[in-house]
Amino acid sequence: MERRITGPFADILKNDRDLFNLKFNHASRSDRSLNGNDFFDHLTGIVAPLVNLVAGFPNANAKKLACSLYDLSLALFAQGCFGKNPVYPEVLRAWKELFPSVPQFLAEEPETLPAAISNALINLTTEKSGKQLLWLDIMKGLAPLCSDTDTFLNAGKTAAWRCGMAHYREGALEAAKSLSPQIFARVIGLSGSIDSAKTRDVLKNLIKDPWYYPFPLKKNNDKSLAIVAVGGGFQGFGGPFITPPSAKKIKNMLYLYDDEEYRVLHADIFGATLHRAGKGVPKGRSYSDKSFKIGTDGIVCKGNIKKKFPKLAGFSSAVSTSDTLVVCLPGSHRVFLVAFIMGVDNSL
Amino acid sequence: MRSMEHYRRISKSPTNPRVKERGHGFDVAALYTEPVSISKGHVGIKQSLDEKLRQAYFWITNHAIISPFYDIEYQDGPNQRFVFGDKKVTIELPSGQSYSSYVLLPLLNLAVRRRCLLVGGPGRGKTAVAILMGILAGYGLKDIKRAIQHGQPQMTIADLLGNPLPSTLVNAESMQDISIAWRMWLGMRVKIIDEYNRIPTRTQSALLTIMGDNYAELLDQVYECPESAWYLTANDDGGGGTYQVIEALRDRIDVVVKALHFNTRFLNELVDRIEDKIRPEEIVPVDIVFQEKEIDAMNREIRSISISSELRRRMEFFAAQFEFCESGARQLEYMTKDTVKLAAVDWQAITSDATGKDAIKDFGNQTKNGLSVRAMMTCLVYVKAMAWFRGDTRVSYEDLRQILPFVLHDKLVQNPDSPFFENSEHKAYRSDYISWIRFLFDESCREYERLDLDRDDPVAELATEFEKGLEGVTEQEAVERQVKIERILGEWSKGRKFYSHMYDDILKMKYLHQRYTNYLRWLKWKDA
Repeated sequence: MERRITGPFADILKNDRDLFNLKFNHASRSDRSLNGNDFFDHLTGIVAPLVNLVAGFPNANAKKLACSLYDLSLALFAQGCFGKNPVYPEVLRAWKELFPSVPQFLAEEPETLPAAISNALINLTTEKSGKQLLWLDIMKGLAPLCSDTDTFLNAGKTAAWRCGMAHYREGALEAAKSLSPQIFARVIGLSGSIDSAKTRDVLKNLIKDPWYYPFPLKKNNDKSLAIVAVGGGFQGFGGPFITPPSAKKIKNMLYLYDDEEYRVLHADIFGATLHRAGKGVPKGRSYSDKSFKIGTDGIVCKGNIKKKFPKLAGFSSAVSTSDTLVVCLPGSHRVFLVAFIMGVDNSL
Repeated sequence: MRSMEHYRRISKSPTNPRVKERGHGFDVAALYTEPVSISKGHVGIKQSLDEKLRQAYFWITNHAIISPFYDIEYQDGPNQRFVFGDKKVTIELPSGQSYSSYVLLPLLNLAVRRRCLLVGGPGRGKTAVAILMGILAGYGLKDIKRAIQHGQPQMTIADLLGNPLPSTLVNAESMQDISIAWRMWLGMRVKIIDEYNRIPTRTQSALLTIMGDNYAELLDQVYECPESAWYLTANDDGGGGTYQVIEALRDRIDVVVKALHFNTRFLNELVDRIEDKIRPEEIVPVDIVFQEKEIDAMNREIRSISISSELRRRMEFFAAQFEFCESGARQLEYMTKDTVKLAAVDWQAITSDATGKDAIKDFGNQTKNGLSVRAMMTCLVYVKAMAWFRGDTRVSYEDLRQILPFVLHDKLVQNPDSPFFENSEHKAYRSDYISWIRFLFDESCREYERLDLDRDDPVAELATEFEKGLEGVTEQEAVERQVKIERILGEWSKGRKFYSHMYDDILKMKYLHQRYTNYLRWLKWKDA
């Protein structure tokens, strides 16, 4: 069947045919994998329906949206988001599923919104949290609740943190303060009746305690010491470390380092991330918080509370902040995080 | 025949592939703004400024200035070495990404907006490099060519700065009424002075005001110039042009770059250019042209590059070697080469006393001057720029080692009568300043390590103790610290020769001792 572009998008392409062709030629020179047929399929199957849909909205600037989506498509083809065997298939899914559900926002912010959503999905996938689809689902659910693009994107920031981007914790919680109770509850995944007092309490607790568990508890409400996360891993199996890492705390930041380089660790109830921090020792004084203690037998103490973790016995290095203890073992590329937490299964 | 596209091609792959370290601050806004950048009316892959400058570097070396030299060498693991001839000339094949100083340093100068002198024989592309820098800064070829100030013996201050408007000159009742038609080049962010050593001395002084203080003055009228990158060219940097270059002007030059010869193995490139009728300055790809705000941002990024205390100490140790002149005065504070210079006495007569010091370990005798504050600040700026250009967040030892010679080239005045240069292995250093300064730095670092100053530096310990402040320091503690200083000075004075690097250390200890003396006097007054 012959593929055809119709509607307002076809007119826009026709009117500026030379410019669009020039852009494609320019992009294909730097991206040898850019294939004319794939790009045409993308324009007919995804971009054209979107532009034609948004063109019907009052005050919509269809030409601006068409240009923006065209340019962005070329940039995302180069990033491996579209075409055959995409590296970031979630981006394509967002264009197919999320964008048609937010035409009013696309009309409002034709240049910013598509790129922002695509960037967020690339970043979530790169972080290997495995929760990029959860983020996409949350955003789809948020569409009818948000009155404007700013609110929608602000909620997306908090949602990214909720989906494992622990390094964005501070900014995400700041963004959360401006969200309505309904939007905040949808982002975090709170169920049951939502009222402003309840969401305010949850937000307050999340700010206060990085290991606060905001969901209903199945077993008990008591807090206990537990291994809350196990991260790291050997580079040969997709992990970050080439040799078993050691831990250090410098200027209130947790670092893990192997023979190659330092990585900064961010962790809380929604996830843990590691980012490269260079080959040299980061600037600042190195010290460990006294909130946690660990013995060579694997007994961890926080104040009067003690608990034995046999697998942490004979640890090689351990440092803590006021709420998290990081433990490294001599023969392991894994990193163990211990925290004082409510309702978590200790068998982790 | 090659297509125009061939000449306009710039590297699409990362020019220095490596994993970018992230800063320790994470802004949630980055979730939406990277990797695809969004700006009004433009969407594209966000490219860092250092990557853009590297692309500019590779475009120039591949298509514009044929400079197949890698005199700024970086190693990334073991490398191959070969020795040639009776003089044992060592050829090293660098294992890391290395660069041609002739192209790299003018580019770094564009980023840090300082003053670069290009020296070399005629027809080696000095002016072409300067013009390319102007084009990379966003100026049109015609504007840049018109803005070049060509040094010539008849050049007047009016030629350089501008003229008073005749009508206002006739009607003026006071100097304030005179309007000046300032020359266009004064307002540009890239300034090119061709053959600056052919400018008459009087006009050089006017140029000095612009270079040093960034303003021009004519008939009581002042023109404030924007911050700009300067490119000066000279056929001979020894001041042997038509006019002697005034010392203050030479001192304002931050970095000196030598135009290297043309490698005849690349003659085919010239043939292609003639056949294709290509002039590189006319075909600079737009992708490597910098906007004004990008140059501002580069400057900011460069200043944020860190330099470790270990590296800073090595630089301090190196810089401390040059100022000391033991026989120049009786009092410690005046034992400097500056004292000898200001006294205008015969250099040889003062410095010929045998001190018994090792001529290699104490290389202060190889120069006739020390390093100025300006010289040290310039070194720091360029080493930071070098680290930034390579995509690093902190300066490495090699950055310092590679850049220092180009900055100090015109600042360290060699003493060719030093016994050091009599040695047949060192004779070449009389003409090859770059290798000489690099040799001095290597030797200085070797000595620094031999003295184990990273671990055992009593002056640094004293300074750290003092920097904690005197608040709460008891009389006994202050006296103990004074005794510690006296003990170190006592130890040093026993049988040790007065090496140049000790000079600043001893002055520092004298300073600390005096501060404690004053503190003790204050304590006694307070208690009384």
